[in-house]
Amino acid sequence: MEHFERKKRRFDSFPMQSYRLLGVALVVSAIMFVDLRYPQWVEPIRHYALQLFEPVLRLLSYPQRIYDVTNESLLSHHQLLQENKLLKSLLLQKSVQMQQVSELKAENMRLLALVESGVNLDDNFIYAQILSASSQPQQHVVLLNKGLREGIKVGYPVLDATGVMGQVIEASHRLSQVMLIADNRHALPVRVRRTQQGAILKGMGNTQRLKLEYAAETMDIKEGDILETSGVGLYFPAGYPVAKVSEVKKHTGKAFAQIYATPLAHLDSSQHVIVLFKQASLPVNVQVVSVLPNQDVPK
Amino acid sequence: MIIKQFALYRTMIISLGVMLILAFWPIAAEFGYYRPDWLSLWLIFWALYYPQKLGVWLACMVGLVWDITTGSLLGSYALSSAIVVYVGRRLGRHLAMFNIVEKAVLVIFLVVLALAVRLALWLIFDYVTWSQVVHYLSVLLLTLLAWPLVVDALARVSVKDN
Repeated sequence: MEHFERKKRRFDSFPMQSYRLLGVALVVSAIMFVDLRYPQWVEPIRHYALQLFEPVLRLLSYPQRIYDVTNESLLSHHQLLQENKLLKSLLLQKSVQMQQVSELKAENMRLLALVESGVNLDDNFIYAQILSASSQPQQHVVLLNKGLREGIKVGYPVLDATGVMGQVIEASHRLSQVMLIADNRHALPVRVRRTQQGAILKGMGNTQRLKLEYAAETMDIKEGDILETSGVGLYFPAGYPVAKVSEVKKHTGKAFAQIYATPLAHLDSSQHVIVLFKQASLPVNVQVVSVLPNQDVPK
Repeated sequence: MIIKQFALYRTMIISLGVMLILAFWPIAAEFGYYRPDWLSLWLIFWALYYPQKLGVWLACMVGLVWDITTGSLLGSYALSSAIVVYVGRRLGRHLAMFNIVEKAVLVIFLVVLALAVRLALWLIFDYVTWSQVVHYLSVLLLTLLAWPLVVDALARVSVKDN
């Protein structure tokens, strides 16, 4: 009997807090499992949390925005004139380039109409401003000042003036979160512009270095090659520049080459970005009319 | 007495709100690793100085809120918070008898523990790379530097409520 009681009270010295910690560990393990295995179940919680937290985040962004506005208004007259001159020359340059682009676009549309393809080359976009970076430095996630209200949805690609920056991962009414291509959870199907060979470009948690995965050892690639979106997947349209190959290491006997690239977009310093989204599918002829009002429409 | 109890909980919530604001205060991406781990500081203070107020379940809930708001792996902050509070409460039982060096060693140990648990989970589930882990040394250093300020500010307000 005495032996039985002693056995029964074996864990009496084990403090209550330890049992509680054990309980916490079990619950947390279950939560972690759900987050990793069924992220779609956690997604609504994250969405509502961002929605709930939105006013605080917007409020916190104001000091920086007020500072920027004040800084701009304090620019000297001379500086403004210089900037204006520069912008005018850039505008002229871009207008000339646009003429060439619209010619190419017209030709493309005619060809696409001929093959009865539903691809829309006239991507729509929204301008947005980066408010802040993520509070977690290991995550390469930024906050944009536009959200569901402006038509942004999860999955939309984000670009700056020089290349692809990332993808919208969460959107609230007036804010959205963008995962940059440098994040180690991000992967993007790309192709080499010169050869059109495809591979996957993966983030490494570094804004200056990306890794090209599943690039065969025999792949024709060299330093300086431009990688562009391949159009494989749901949201990224084909042909947007993403990165420039910076290092190619090929080891004989291995299936894949070690290839690294530098992002073309200024992931660290860009403030103004565009969020791309495609117009809802329209009949090909209607798209052609909207692009080329003065040209013959292929029937 | 009840009013005093309520006042202390109010201070806990307000101080947590301040920590959340400090954690989310927008800074340039390149300075991301120069932000102290405000949550750990908050947890360590309440676990060491008011262990009867902060248990492992409450720490877990606070950590979970942090996980959701920061977009981290769900449960990583929750588990590290619970462990830190558990260890803090156990080792800090005789805090009043500790000299300043012993207190400093305890705080350093708890901050390292919080970061180590979290980074280990993130490493296991590929949320962070080894090269990024190295950068967390600056987070550790700044968290330790911020500790005297946090403990001073929180001790002032909490003593007034208590």
